[in-house]
Order: sequence, then C-alpha cells, then structure tokens
Amino acid sequence: MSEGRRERRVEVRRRSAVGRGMTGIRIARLSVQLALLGLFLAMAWAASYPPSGFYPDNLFLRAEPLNALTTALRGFSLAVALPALILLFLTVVSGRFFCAWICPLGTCFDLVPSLGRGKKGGLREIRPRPLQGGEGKDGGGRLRLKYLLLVLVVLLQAAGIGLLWLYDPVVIVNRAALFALSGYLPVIFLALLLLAAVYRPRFWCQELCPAGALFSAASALGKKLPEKASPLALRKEEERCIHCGRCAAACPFEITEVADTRRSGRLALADCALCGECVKACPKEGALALTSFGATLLGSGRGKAARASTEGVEAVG
Amino acid sequence: MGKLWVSRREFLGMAGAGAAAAAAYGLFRSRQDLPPLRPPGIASEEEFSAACLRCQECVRGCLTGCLEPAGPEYGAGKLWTPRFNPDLARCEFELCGRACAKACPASLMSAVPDAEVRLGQAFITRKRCLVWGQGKPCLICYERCRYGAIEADEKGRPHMVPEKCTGCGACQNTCIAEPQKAIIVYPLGRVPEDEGDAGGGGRKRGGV
Ligand code: SF4
Ligand code: SF4
Ligand code: SF4
Ligand code: SF4
Ligand code: SF4
Repeated sequence: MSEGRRERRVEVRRRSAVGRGMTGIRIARLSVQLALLGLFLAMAWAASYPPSGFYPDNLFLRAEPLNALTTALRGFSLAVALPALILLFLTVVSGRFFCAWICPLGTCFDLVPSLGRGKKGGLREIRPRPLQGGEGKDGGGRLRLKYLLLVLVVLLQAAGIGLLWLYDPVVIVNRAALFALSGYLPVIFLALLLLAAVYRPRFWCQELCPAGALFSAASALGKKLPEKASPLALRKEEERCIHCGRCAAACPFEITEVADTRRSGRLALADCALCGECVKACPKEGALALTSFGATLLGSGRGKAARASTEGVEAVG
Repeated sequence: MGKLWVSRREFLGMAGAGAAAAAAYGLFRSRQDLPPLRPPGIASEEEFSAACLRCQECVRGCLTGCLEPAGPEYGAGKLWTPRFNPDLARCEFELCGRACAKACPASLMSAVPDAEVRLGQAFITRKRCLVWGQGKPCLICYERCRYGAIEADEKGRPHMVPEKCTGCGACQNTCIAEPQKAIIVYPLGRVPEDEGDAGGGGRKRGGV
C-alpha cells in the first residue's frame, strides 16, 4: 500500500428514517425523470410509419454520446451529432447530471426499491475506499472497471467488432420497451440489471456503464471551472462540515469523497451525478448545496435532517 | 495492484465474465449459409452488423413491415439486427421516404440514394416455378415487378433481367409456388449461378 494512503471504513447506523422521505429535491428530480422516461417511451413506441416529423424521433438514442461518437466517426454530420455535443458540453461545465436526471436506465434504477439503504434501524456499510494522498486530499480516484470497458468497447468498435449495442444504456431500455419485436431476452437483461440495483442502486452506473464512464471523463475536463460558471454544481463549505458521513451514506452513486474532502467550493467530483441526495441528508446548515451559476438551489440542514440528532452516526477511522 | 487499478477480485471476476461471454459467443455461431438481407442503403454488411445498435427503431418505423430482428440463427454478431424478409412484405423504398433510414439513430441506411438501392437480387429456381417446372400458367412475379426485371417469353415463362432488379422483394412476397417459393431474393454476391437448379435442395420455403 502506497505512502499516505489508508483504508477507511465508515459505518453508518440509522436510527430513524431521516433522509428517506419525499422532500423537495427528490420530488423535483423524480418528476423530471418520470417526464423524460415518458417522453423516451413515447418516442420509442411512436416510431412507426409514417414518420411523425417530430424531430428527432429518437432524441435519446441520438443524444447518447457513445453512439453519436461512433456514428460521427463513420461520417460527421452536425445535425446527427448536435444533441450529443450539447449534452457533452453541459457535462463538461456542470458534471454527469445526465445520469441522475435524464438517463432512462438510471431512472429505472431509481424506481427500484433498495435494500439496506435508509431502512429504519438498518445498517449500511459503505465499502471501504482508499483515501488517495491521505488526509486533506480527495479520496476516490480508483480507476473503475467502467473506464476499461469504455476503452474496450470503443477499440473493438473501431476494429469492426460491435459491442456497443450490448452496453449502451439507452438502447438496453429501448429494446426492452420494444419487446414485442425482439422478444423477452432484452427484458430479462434489463431485469437482471434492476435486480443488482436492489443491493447497490447504481452499481451498473458506477462500475460498468461505458456511457457513464464517458460522462465522468467529460466532467473531469471541467473540474477547474468556477462555481459561478457552472449551470449545476455541488458546493461544500468545509468549515461547516462535521464529517459525519451522512452524505456518503446517502449517495446512490456510493461517492465517499463528499465526506472525505477538505476542500471548499465547487467539488466537481467526476462520478457525481448532481442528484442532491447528499445535500438532503446533510444535517449541517450550509455545509452542502446544489448551486446554479453560484446561486443556491438547495441548501443542506434546512429540513428534517437538521432536526434529527446526529447521534447514531459514527465514523470508525 | 497500483492505486489506479481494480482489485484482484474484481479483475478475476471480469476475466471470468469475459470468458463466459466468449464461450456464449462461440455457441451462437451462424447456422445460416447466407447472410441476412438488409434494409436498403447500407454501406457494407461488416460495418452494418458492427455498428447497428439493435434498437429496433427501423423495424418499428418501416412502412410495409418487411423488417424483422434477425434471430440467434444468424449468430451472436448479428443478433437482433434488422433483417429484410420479403416473405413479410416488399420494401417500398421509393414510396416510404426511407422511413427506416430516418428512424436509425446510428444513420446506417443513408449511404445510398433511392436510384442506386439494391437490397439483393431475385433468382428463379426453375424446377420450383409453376410455369417452368409444371407447365402451368402463372407470371404473377412478372406482373408484380415494377422495375421490368422479369420478362416473359412467348411460352409465358419468366426470365430474370438481373441488372434491373432492385431486390425489392415484391416477386418473392407474391410467389405462389408450393412448398417452396420459386423466386427468392438473395444477398448480392451470393446469387446462385446455375439458373434452373441451384438452391433447389434443402432450403425452407422462402427461407433465405
Ligand atoms: S451511468 Fe449509464 S446507465 Fe447509469 S445513469 Fe449514467 S448513462 Fe445511464
Ligand atoms: S455526491 Fe451527492 S449529488 Fe453527487 S451523486 Fe452523490 S449524493 Fe448525488
Ligand atoms: S425503405 Fe421503407 S419499406 Fe423499405 S425497409 Fe425501409 S421503411 Fe421499410
Ligand atoms: S434503427 Fe439502425 S441501429 Fe437501430 S436496429 Fe435499425 S439499423 Fe440498427
Ligand atoms: S425481380 Fe423481384 S425483387 Fe427484383 S425488382 Fe422485380 S419484384 Fe423486385
């Protein structure tokens, strides 16, 4: 084990269902997700003759940047690449918001009831994550499988071996939605992914999804961008953070850096999907916030989480 | 392992999953002697089967319903890719505005303009044809071909004019020969040479 790096295990015991109820941010996010999932399904099912003329019929499939990228490699056309380019630009300047707010597969994951998360009296163990560079630096930084898969899929695609069809998150749902055509196998595939979500809500997203890996890589490009220039950002005030680990326990993407980091300001974590769950779970007012161009959209410590005792939350170093 | 790498257990897990996938891939080899026909306007079969997302949008979007997802019999490399099946319907690429091409999120069917579309090549297996094989009057295919790719001789027998055939499938769709259709659209480059006898053996009715 390299110098300055140590394993830390954080155990979080919840005595109440704090952070579980339907509050503003979750209602807002779920509404956006369900509306877009509805639009996605409408587009998938509406693509029958005659073409609706509703441009573009399958916006979600076209906007998925891996598909757009490989399509553009065969012959660039701005009209085809535009939705993906806009999405990638927004990802660079704000982060991987697609995953928490738009992706049809991500929405399906969020609709799956999860075990061991936020249950009354339940105990959830956060998988030990090495802290990179020791105290005061960001943790995480583990090269997840999804990046290897992303490189593999792109290289094989370039070599004429198509694998993207199997891993593209939008297509996985599209095929399952059109099971009347391709049969039940795509539905079973989707169901298996959803089954994994019962235990780790965004297992696929964080460890495997090549599109998610591309989004994470893109968001790392805009890491240095100031909060004021970012349409959607996660802000931390280090002085107010009590390092209780509740944010890490609440994160569906299993990100522990929010708690670990000693930085203030826009966090710009490559894997963060800007869902706001950590902000909602944080008991300290002003410690975490979702912001837009510097203005606070949602601040921590305003709701039930603030009134709840921090008792029962232990960080075992 | 270095700090940027996955744990050994994860690596072994992935290697195992990869091996299982490779084995499954091997089991799903093509059992067809001919590649599937494709929707009109693709650049090449290799590029198409590699790049197609199997999203089924073209199958849904088709005017006539002539497309279907290829089953496992074409191998894992082509599973669920759209297959043009003239037994379902003919392709109306000059009427539908190429609905399949417009529906495709990967823009895979826009390589060729209408005038140059060739989905395949029709071929008459004479011994199965009602006129050639049994001396009965028919010529339905001749009447249905709107490209003048089938001509009738003075005895009422159909002859192919291959250079005029677009592979639209109208003839195959309508052929009434039993139990196997006599006129079938073959993938380009895989058309039987010996007019009269080739392909008369083991193929199922209409199966390509
Ligand atoms: S990681 Fe992939 S599947 Fe998950 S939400 Fe993002 S794009 Fe969708
Ligand atoms: S760090 Fe916070 S905002 Fe980002 S994904 Fe995790 S819970 Fe959501
Ligand atoms: S060109 Fe028209 S009729 Fe032919 S496969 Fe495409 S949508 Fe169907
Ligand atoms: S629409 Fe395009 S990508 Fe989708 S199945 Fe058809 S050919 Fe493949
Ligand atoms: S011969 Fe058959 S496939 Fe060829 S153009 Fe005529 S009807 Fe279409």
